[in-house]
Amino acid sequence: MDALIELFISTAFVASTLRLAVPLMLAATGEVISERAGILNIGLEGMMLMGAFTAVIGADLTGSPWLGAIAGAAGGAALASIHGVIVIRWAGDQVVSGLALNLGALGLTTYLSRKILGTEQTEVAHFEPVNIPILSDLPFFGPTVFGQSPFFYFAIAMAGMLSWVLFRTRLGLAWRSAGEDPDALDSVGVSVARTRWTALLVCGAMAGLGGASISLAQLFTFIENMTGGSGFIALALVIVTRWRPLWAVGVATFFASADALALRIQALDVVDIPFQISLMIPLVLTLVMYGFAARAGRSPAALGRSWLKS
Amino acid sequence: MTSKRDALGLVLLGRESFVVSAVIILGLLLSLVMLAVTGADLGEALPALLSGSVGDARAIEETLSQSVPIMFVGLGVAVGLRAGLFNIGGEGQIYVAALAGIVVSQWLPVDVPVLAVALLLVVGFIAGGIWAAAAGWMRAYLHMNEVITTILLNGIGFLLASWAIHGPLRDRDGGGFPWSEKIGEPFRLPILDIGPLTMPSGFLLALCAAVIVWIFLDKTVIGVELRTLGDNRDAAAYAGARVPLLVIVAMGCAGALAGIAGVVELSGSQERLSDFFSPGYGFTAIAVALVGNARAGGVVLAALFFGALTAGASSMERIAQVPASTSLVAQAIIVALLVVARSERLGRWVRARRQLAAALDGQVT
Repeated sequence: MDALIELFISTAFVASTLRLAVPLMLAATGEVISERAGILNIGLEGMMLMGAFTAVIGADLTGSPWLGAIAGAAGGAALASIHGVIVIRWAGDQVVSGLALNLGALGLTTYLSRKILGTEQTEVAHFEPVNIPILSDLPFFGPTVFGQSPFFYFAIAMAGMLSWVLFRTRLGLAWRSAGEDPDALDSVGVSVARTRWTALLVCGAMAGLGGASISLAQLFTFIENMTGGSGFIALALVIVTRWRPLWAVGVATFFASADALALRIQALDVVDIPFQISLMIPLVLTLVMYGFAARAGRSPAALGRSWLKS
Repeated sequence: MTSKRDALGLVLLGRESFVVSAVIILGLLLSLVMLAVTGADLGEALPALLSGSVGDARAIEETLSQSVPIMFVGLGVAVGLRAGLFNIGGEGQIYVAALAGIVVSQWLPVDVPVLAVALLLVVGFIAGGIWAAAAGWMRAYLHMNEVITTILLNGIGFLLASWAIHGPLRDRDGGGFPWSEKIGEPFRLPILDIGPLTMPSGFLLALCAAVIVWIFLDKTVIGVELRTLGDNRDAAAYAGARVPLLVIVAMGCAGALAGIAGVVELSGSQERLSDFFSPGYGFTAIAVALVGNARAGGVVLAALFFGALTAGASSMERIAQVPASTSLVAQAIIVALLVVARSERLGRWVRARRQLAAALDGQVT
């Protein structure tokens, strides 16, 4: 019993849950926006990896983690703009383009990191946890929840803001129309291509920041393939959110708690489970969550369909 | 009549092989530009690329050997694509099948080489097939997108194999490495001598698989049904095809071929299962299937090309210190260009030019 309490009700568990949730929140929120506008972005993983890489380069060159984070967002958005050229400008296949971007990002970051950073992992300027005054003095989980990296607060703020934009503004209405009925959007004189471009660039920047949150707030350096499939997890979680940005915060946190639990079981040696099996738990959980969501939810009608003005 | 169209290059533009060749050449050129811009010594890298892929008998064997797994998996991806399904799960299917292969080879130590290899192929076929058919089932009955489920199943399959070789299947005398024991002698596929060259026998098996896939897709009832499914799902259902069953069969076939890739790689090349067993064959195979236009013959040629690229890239890393990961970038550029080449906008543009050409012809005659 003590062991169980130790597992769940500990600041270490909450801390690792929130830490693991942040990259997923950022990437999943971005993907929600892009998919709402009709663009399926399988390249999310590649954009996270690219963001993690450019963030480290930016932080290394400028000595500022903030400029590093901006470089991370720019790296993700740059990759997203390649996707945009292929699927919006040329109306190419969205799944294949995304897969190519994942492959390219893996190859390019591996190649360039060896060229630029060398094989030794140098620690770069990074983010320290930010304690929110007063709130971080709250008892129990106060110091944990309100003593996270800036990415954590930014992820929640962005989910809230993008939720407001998506459901309460003209731009959000345009995004949703581009994903549901692009012909209708076009018929009222709004450019479908431009609308989709904005959503896709938001997605790329958010994914880039998600990657940057791993490199600048967790590991402080770049490691080959360091996102290790987070982007694919985020992609599946988007379906569980049923395409609502604010839900991305909750779903990512729930998923991360399972992930954290698996890690804690490992660390505490409560039960003798091989680490590969505990790493499997979050993947199986994602499949199960997706399975339930797939029956209940309905994706945006024009998701994955290219649209050209005739 | 056709002279004017030929002059405009439009007949060629419509031909798939021309498009693919142009894409590959452009993709390779862009990759070289990237290497040059980032300061690689092309004078050293290019000869290394060529000598490592086609330079001598040893290089050619390496190219053939690299093309075997991606040919099998690529044929599987092609079967899926023809049925309108995307099997991204090659990695997981390879690992699960190789794991099953190791288990069965230790469990049933068959002594007759031919029987042993046949058993191994059947095991790989079944294990990979089941792993992928699960994704087919989720697609057919739970409406889960196979792109996402197969990606998740990749992770699960890899971890399953990794657990086995760190745990129960670990070679106790393996020099401390977490890998399985070598697969038994009778289960191994030999290297064949043909004249001055040597060739892994897995390559012959892969060619046989290509012929079987071609017959299956083009000459059998179920193959035609699968293609109808890919062309128009509603029409297939209307024509009385059992769509859920076909989806499961298509994914199962794709996985079975990836499974064979796993056991052939095990018995013909690596002999042990390790955490580094597949350096992304499942993903390269997607490029293979797309470049091969999801046709058996195209897949064979594309697998040879990407096999040569992989073999050449690793020699580039050895000789010219250019990281082999550049071959991933080349693959990505080629696939991205191919998407553009087959995009709706370009298709529209080509059709418009054709009409223009036809109109011009009309004026001349």
